[in-house]
Amino acid sequence: MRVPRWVAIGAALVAGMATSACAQSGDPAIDRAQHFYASVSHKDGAAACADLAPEARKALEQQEGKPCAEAILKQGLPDMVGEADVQVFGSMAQVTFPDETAFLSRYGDDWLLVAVGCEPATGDEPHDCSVEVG
Amino acid sequence: MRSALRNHSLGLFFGLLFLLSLVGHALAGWQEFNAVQTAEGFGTLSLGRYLVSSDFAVDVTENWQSEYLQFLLYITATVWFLQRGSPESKELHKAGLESDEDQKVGRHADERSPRWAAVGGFRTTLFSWSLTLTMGTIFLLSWLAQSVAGRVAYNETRLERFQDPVSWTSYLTNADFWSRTLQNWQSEFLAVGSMAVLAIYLRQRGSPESKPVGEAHDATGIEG
Repeated sequence: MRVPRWVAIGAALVAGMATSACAQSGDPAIDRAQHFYASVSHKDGAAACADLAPEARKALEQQEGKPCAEAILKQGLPDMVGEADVQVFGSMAQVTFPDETAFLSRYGDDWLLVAVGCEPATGDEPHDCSVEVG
Repeated sequence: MRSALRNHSLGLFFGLLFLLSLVGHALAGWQEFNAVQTAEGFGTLSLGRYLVSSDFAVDVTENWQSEYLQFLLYITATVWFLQRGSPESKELHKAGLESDEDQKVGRHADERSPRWAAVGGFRTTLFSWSLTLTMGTIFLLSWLAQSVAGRVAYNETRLERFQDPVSWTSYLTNADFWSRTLQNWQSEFLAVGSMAVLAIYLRQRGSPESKPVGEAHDATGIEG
């Protein structure tokens, strides 16, 4: 039986949009976040800053009045963040660790961190993050 | 060939307009999306990635569902509801599903009637409602797609504000879902309602959607 074109397009659309909302462990966003926290724990500020989005780096440098590589190590970020979970919605991702939350944005084929050091949110309130864009 | 084009020009004209509009929408939507992302310090998307994004999908499907709902309601409402003087209404004594004879169903079918109109039983009942069922199915699928894509796009915005995402069931009661839905519904209902009433007193010479120019204002169910 030939499936009508609009049914095929609709099914593909729904399937595509539904799968874009969830992601498996080992996701590039998780890899990026884990690399960032590993760099922080190894006191490698330059490597950690390379995982931040340009606007996040700029915001941190303006906030601290120091180069990113130096400022990022003074944010009191956790050394070990544990197992990660990720939720991807369009061009944004949220990586959640047991005691830490990070937000990432897609830049081309890559993911970069736009907020780190985020404390658990209360209700519908935004997370309070030690480094964030904007 | 030329005759075939002429005989199908209405469908082709609107098909072409649809494609041009969709391309224009995609390009304008992509530019706007990236402008907002850049202004807020987030990453931008390639055109290819934008075309399969929830942001584009929700904008498309919220319009599709409302258009199909508009025609679904118009097709079914005009079975029972009347509008004196409107070419969009049936004649005032014909409200309802009408007789088998009027509808050329079963033994009243003629030699040119579709086979399913003549055979009777389930097939004739299904065929008798096939337009409503098809428009209703497209409406429901489009609305479902809007809810799925809308939730992803809404959560994308929430993550940009560093808020936690919401579930699909929670999104169904969210103001964003109903704002997108109702802003489209109200415009469709206004357009259809005003068309039914304005066509009582106004004319477009040559259009089957209008009464003939010289037809009386109170003449109902007459198309030009």
